[in-house]
Amino acid sequence: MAFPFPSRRVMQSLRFRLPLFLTLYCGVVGLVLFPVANEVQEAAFERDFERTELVRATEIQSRTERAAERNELPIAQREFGELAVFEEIRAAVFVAPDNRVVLSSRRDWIDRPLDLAALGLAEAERPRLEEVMQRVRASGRTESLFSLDRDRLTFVLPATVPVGPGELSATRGALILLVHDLSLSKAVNRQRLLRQFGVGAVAVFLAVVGLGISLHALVTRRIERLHHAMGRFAAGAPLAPDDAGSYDAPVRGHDEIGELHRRFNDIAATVGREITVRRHAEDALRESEERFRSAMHHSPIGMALVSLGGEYIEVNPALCAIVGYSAEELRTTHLEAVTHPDDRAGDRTAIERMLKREVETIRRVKRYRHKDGRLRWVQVNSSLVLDDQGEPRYFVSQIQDITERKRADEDLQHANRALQTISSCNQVLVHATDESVLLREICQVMVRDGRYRMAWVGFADAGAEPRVQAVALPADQADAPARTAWAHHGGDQMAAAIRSGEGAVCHDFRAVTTGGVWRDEAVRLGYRSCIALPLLGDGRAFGALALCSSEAEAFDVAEAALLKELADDIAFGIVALRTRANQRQAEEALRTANERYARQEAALTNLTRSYVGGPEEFIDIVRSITEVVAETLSVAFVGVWRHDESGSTTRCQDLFQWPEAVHEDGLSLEEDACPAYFRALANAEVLAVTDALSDARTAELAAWVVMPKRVTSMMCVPIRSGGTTIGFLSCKHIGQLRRWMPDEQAFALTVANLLSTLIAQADRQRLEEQLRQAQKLEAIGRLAGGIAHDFNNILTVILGRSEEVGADPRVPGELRDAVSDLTQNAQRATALTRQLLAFSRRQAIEVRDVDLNGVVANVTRLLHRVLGEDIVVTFTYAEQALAVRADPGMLEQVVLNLAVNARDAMPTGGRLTIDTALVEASGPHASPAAPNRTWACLRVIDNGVGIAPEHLPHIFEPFFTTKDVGKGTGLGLATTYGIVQQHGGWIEVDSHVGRGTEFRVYFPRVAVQPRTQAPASEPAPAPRGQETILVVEDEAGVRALVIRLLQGLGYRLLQAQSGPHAIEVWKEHGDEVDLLITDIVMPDGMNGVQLAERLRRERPSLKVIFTSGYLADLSHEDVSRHHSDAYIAKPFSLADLARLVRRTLDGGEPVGTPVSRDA
Amino acid sequence: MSNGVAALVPAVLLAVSLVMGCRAEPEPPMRIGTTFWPSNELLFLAQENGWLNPSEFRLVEFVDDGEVMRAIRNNAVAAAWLSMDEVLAVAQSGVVDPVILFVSDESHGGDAVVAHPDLTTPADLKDRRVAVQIDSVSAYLLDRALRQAGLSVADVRLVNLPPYRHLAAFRRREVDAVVTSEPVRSQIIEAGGVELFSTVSTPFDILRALVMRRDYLESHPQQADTLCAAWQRAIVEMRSSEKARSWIAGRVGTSVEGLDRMLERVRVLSLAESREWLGVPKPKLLATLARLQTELLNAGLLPTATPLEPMFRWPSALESVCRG
Repeated sequence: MAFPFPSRRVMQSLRFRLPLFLTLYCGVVGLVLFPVANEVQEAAFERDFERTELVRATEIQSRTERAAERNELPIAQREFGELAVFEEIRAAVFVAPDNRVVLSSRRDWIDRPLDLAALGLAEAERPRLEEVMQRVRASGRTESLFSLDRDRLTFVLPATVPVGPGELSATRGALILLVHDLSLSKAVNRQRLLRQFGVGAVAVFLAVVGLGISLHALVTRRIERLHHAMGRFAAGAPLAPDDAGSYDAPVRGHDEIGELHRRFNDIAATVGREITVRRHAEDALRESEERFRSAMHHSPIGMALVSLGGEYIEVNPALCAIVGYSAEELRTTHLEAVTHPDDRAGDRTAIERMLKREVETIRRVKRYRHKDGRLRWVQVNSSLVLDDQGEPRYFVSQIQDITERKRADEDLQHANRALQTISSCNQVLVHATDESVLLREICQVMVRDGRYRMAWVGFADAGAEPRVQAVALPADQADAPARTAWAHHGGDQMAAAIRSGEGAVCHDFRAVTTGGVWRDEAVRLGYRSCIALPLLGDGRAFGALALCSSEAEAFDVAEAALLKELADDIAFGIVALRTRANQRQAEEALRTANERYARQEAALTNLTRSYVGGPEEFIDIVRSITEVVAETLSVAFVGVWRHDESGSTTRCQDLFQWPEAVHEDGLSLEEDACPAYFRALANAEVLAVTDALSDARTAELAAWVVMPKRVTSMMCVPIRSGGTTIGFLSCKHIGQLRRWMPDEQAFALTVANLLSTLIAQADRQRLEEQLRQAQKLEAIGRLAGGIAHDFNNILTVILGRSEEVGADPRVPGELRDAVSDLTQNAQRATALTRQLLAFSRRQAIEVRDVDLNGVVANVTRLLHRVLGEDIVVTFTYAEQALAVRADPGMLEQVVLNLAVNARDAMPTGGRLTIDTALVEASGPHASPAAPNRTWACLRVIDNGVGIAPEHLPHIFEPFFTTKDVGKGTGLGLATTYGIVQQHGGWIEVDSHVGRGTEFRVYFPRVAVQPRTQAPASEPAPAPRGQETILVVEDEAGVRALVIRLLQGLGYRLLQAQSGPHAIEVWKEHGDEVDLLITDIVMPDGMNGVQLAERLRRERPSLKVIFTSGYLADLSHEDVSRHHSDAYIAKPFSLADLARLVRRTLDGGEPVGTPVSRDA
Repeated sequence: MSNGVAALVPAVLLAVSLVMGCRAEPEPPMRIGTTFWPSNELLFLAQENGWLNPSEFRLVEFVDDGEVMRAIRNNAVAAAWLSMDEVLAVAQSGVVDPVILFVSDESHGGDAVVAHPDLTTPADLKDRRVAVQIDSVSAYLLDRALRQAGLSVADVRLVNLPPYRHLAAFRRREVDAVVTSEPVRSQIIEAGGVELFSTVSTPFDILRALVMRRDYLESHPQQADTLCAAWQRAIVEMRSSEKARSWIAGRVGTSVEGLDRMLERVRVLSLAESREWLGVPKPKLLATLARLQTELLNAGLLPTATPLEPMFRWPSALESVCRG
């Protein structure tokens, strides 16, 4: 858009030029004045600023000096730091005489040389400031310095520093520099001055605008109006449109311009009146012609003048409206161009008759083709117009549009047809019992009675791609689905009706281009029009009824309304049929639920009679429960799961698969693998999940069980005992998604409670069984220990004597072989005796704090050798050290025994798992002796043949074996049992025939760090000596053997057969005795320990070696008191005894520490 | 002169006059209150690197937190670095309507109770002279330490000292223990002090944040944006550039290694980490502040409770770099 510049005339007028001149003048004055005013203002500001800031600088100087005098410079630093708050202060520094910054507004400048560049001073300014600083130091007077651009003002103030050592007066030389930045303040002042000038400019502008307006109103406008009136008068135009006949220009006033205007009006009035009269006459003539023309054009019916050749000469708007062409188009158009082809021949005949003067007027009913293609029915009355000589000139025609009347007649016919169809359909509806039959018959009636070309019913299929599914066609159009395949793809009237819930009509397929394949197919099949009517139920269209006709415009409004009612009746009929069907289904569901309740009730009644005997009975009961639950709830999988001692792993007690009737167990589930699932279980009473794959609570199980087992829905119920979740019951459903009924959940909950009770019963019985077993084994152990003790004494003699005989060079060769056999068999007997002692917990053990993980690791290599290549061994160690107080050799023997036992259970190979874990044992898994403490657990698991239930109670008994004769001693597990008991632990076993065995060994965990095992030293030759030794031994054979040996090594020997006897010997030779060797277990009321104590009361430094076949009667206190004494177990080799004697006499460490079973 | 030019002359003169006269006056720089604290130095680094124009941002160095609180209360600064208890104290005063711009750092040992070697546990503070700056985060820390030892403030002899006097007072044995923060904490440790209690024991309790007056934030959103962007750039620079760390170390009077040790105890938070604290709709920091307020009220360090949500409520049109 162009800028609306004033016209040249306006520009040259007084009202513009005078204000423009004034504006330019003021602008020039303003431009000249502003710099001057700004300079004056800045000078004044600088003076004021310097004066006021000097006061502040002086105050800072004073406070800083005071702070320096009081040695409180940190306080002054606070003030220097805060100076940055002031807008104008750029920097503040306190400089010592050596130019070192002491205080500053910037902390990082302190204790550094003064850097003028850092203060923001330009390079050119710095020499000037340094000069000023020198002057101030010299004069002691404050000075200020403006920068060259006068935007910076620096105050340099002298400061007095405190008196230094050896000085009488305070030293000047320190300076305070305050750098001010005035640029911001100056910019503010400059802007304020600009604002004042701006206000002045606005005032000037308003004044000149007012001046221009005044000039315009009083002078220029009035002259222009007069000028304008004169111009119009000269051109003969009226001066004022509302003042007919008057030339009075609209100018008022009595000044010079007003008087001039009145003189002009007087002159113009005379001429103007004559002009007005002449114009009125011309207007009357023009109106007469218009009236004649409009008679034709305002006629309500069509009128036309048609030439004898058939061309339109003149037409009126009514005819134009009928045919849709403009008057100009018709004037160049032939009559036949707008006439229906079927009516043209009749027109020609009528024209000929009139031209032949057979008739004067013709009346015809015919059809016009409207410009938009529609047909218009008209009634034409035509007459021939003759000229003065009687010759034909043209035709005059009157055309009346009768289309609506014709259409009403057709509508009536259609309505009758629709009513007949409705009547027939209602008959069908009344008798219908089946939905598909109903729809098919309805379609049949439509085609037969309604005479439609085709009728069909489609239902909406709301899938991923909404479709229309044909559900019914007339019986005689069986091939119709192929021909109506187009309907499935939407986009036609059927789809539109379903989408909108309103009827959809296509009046003529040939006249439309939309509709895609449906339109093309319809045209090909000869359909011209189509209507689709929605079938409504619950406020939405669930389908539609479609009717096709071979006629165009076959469905008018009335017929469509009737058909809509019919469609509603059909929809009602369908809904009613469906409602009846649903009622039947509901009744069926109710009956099914009642049957289900009855099943659940019966199942619960049976289950509550369950009773648990031993472990096998418990498993049987659990299996029967899972079977009943699976059958009652009709679920594919029912599992009973139980948490282990640590709570982190859940093991399957039984998993029943129904209806295959397969039981499975041994599965495990780690809580770490599916925390959300376990969290949900812990917080829920019943965890009922309809879609296990998408539900967040069970989604973690997707890879593990949901997808592999094709599980769709799950219901899990925690099994709780005393408020603690000890396991859960799981029901898994496959097939369609399943919503768990409340009664089903209640049933599962009841079963879970029942399981809780059963598990509690089983645990209690297990503990009772363990107690009975322990008591029995204790009795057997006492018996075995007693036998072993006697055997040890005997074997000591046999071995000792055999060793002597074997070492004697005088013995012949054949006798030496016999002695060797004797020694070997005695050693085997010794080994058996040791195992018996181990079982009976009466063998001496050397305890220390060891790591169970390390013990297992030590035997790893040995195990691979012992087990062979057919067995795959897996070791898993606890993450933390499992410190236990034990004899590491004994622990190794436990591992070895259990591994060998597993090997024998897997004759054809298998898998052996050995792992260790830290267990917080409590509740049913606690040791009866020490509940609620931590235990180191060793698990040995094989998948071998398992142990028969009837053998389980006896496996720890000595000499009990199921192996062939000669293949086992029957002491392996018994020994293991004894070792574990002796270490304060206990052992558990679970075994299933055909599936394997799991041994769990628990040792009490100690809090100390285990020590590493020192390497064993090489044996050395038997050393000799000359000291005196008192040997106290009730077994004469053993006593004689020891005496003979030690005498052979050079020692002096005293002997006694009992404690009292030894005291008597002591009374005589006590001063000579260097070492006491005494059996611990002796008759006559005094054992070896008591004897040693008795003798040590007389000589505390007496050295003692204890010997024993077992430690049956050695109390814990005894052991504690004699912890530092030496010990050797029977049977012993002579060499070992000789080395121990020498080491003890020499004051070395004892070789063994006797420990009772209570250790 | 043509018609058009002649007609434009008055309009141009008027327009020029109005434009020149109606221009806003130059704004004074935005003043930000800082203290001697490692993370504060990042804005100095940003200014040193030219990311904060000195004509738009003025960093004011106060010697202690009390001065900073007073400055923002008195409108002497528009923004200030405050610890959370100081934010509560400022908000409680009712003079200032503070908005938390971003959380800058978390003290993980940066604040501590340091004592002479003859004191080994907080329980040893009983009847001893303890230097602490009243009304600061140090007071809160001391209260926590004493309560842990079963003591109360009444069991010790409080000596109100600003941080810059802590080292000297400790060396002269004018006090037995000092409640102080970095870098003074490290200096006292080097002087033979032993740490009795520190913010290592009170995780997430002592957070510091840059707080801005709401009225200033509403009228200067662009400057808040620039400030946050510069802060983030300075963090990146400090973490990636040895030179930057060396520059900061020079300012705090230590070596680069010393600075690294300080930053282990004063964990600087990036804008992304800050947004985790301030995230909408329910900022995590809100719960921390509420707990802190309760403790301060119970300890008598805060007279009355104050609404916390307004500190997190930004003018809706100003969500930008700081808030993501």
